[in-house]
Amino acid sequence: MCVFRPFFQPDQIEANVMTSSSPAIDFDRISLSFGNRKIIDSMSFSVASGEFTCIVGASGSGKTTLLRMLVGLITPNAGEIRRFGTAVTGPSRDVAVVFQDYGRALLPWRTAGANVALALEAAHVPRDERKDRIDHLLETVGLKGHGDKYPTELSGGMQQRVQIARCLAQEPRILLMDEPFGALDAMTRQSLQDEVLQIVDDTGMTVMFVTHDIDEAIYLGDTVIHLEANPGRVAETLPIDLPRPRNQLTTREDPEFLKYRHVLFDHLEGHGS
Amino acid sequence: MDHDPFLAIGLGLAVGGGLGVLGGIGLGLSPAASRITSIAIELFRPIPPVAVIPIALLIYGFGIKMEAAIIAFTCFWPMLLLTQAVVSSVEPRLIEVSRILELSPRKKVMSIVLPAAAARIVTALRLTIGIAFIVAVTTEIAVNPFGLGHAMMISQMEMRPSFMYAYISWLAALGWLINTGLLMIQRRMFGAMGLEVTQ
Repeated sequence: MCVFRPFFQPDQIEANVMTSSSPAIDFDRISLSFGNRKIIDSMSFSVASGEFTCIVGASGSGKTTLLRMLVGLITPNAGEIRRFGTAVTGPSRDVAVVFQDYGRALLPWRTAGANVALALEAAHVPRDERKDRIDHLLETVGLKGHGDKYPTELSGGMQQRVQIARCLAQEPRILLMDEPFGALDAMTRQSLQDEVLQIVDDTGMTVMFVTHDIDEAIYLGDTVIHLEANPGRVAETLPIDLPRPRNQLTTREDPEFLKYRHVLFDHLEGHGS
Repeated sequence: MDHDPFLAIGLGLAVGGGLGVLGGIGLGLSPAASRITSIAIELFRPIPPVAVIPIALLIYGFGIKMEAAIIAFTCFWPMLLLTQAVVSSVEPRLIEVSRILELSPRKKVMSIVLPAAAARIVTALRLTIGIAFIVAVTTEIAVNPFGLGHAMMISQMEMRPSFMYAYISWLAALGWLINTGLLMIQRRMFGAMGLEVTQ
């Protein structure tokens, strides 16, 4: 028997494979200047779907700027940024951002639940579905029973949880976190790190996490990208090969962890100033 | 018939203040629009409201419409500029959040801009009402034969100071009443938190 096979089929299959394997985040020779000051110089890197990438670097290396370009809040002067193969033209609900300054990113006149609702309202989720989803989201971030409180009635860590819940309500494919735990105390920070890892594991989101804390970057990431300053560019991409789930004690005591720490520390020292 | 300046103030404020708030939101959210209109605004704004009396008189003749038009002109400018200032100083982070969530312009104004700016817009309204009150009485004294201000002047000319003082007291009471009423609304609507929001 002769099986009819149209000649274009292999091409199509290849095209499909290409789109499904196109990286979640792709920076293609990105440059950005404010006036005469060059902020970022010909930066290229890509992040695979589902990968957890941490960005470390001295201040002035363009960590936050990089996130803002990726969201589409700033447009680079040269190069192209692609999300899942599509060039970024502006913000999209597909990409959520957790800002460091939760106090400013939350609507102070709305309760925690209503803050989460904003993302659902934006996505035109019917009113009668919202309550269940809000309850579920608040429970996910450990805020069960706090939905009726205003942000000012919540601690810093809890406010940041509200912001994370709002971002999850967007059901994003990419989650960007800009030093999200920088303003929190060490204990809150550790529990939030583990909760974020758990959530990311459950949802399969692609995460880009900016931090100035090397330990945090290694602890969370599949990859750590180290940026150099003046102008910002990728100095090094370090794959982190530590077993998951990670553990605040055993992971941090792992000789491999310490090795990564050593490598990154040397690099930051060398390039930092 | 004599009338309280209440109606004229209410009408003028609704029209002039309303347009001012709408324009102020637009200008506050769009730096480009505020640049384009700034020359025109600076050209028309310094016109003293009392100087508009002849124009309003030509268009509307004597009566409440004329007075309301002048008050509307008076209220428009401070509401426009104050709203613009308030809106352009809304926490930029919240504006970013609205962009990230892809809120429609209407949703952005209703859910982010107005709640963030409301308490200070009400403060602007209180200031503006004070000015509207002054202009209302001035207009009545100057041209509107149907106003309270006019009646007050007539009493003075007729050598009936008791009536004149009665009118003045009534005006003072009205002014106090309006301001107190607005303060109450402001407290009720925004409470202690509303005042914090405006920081």
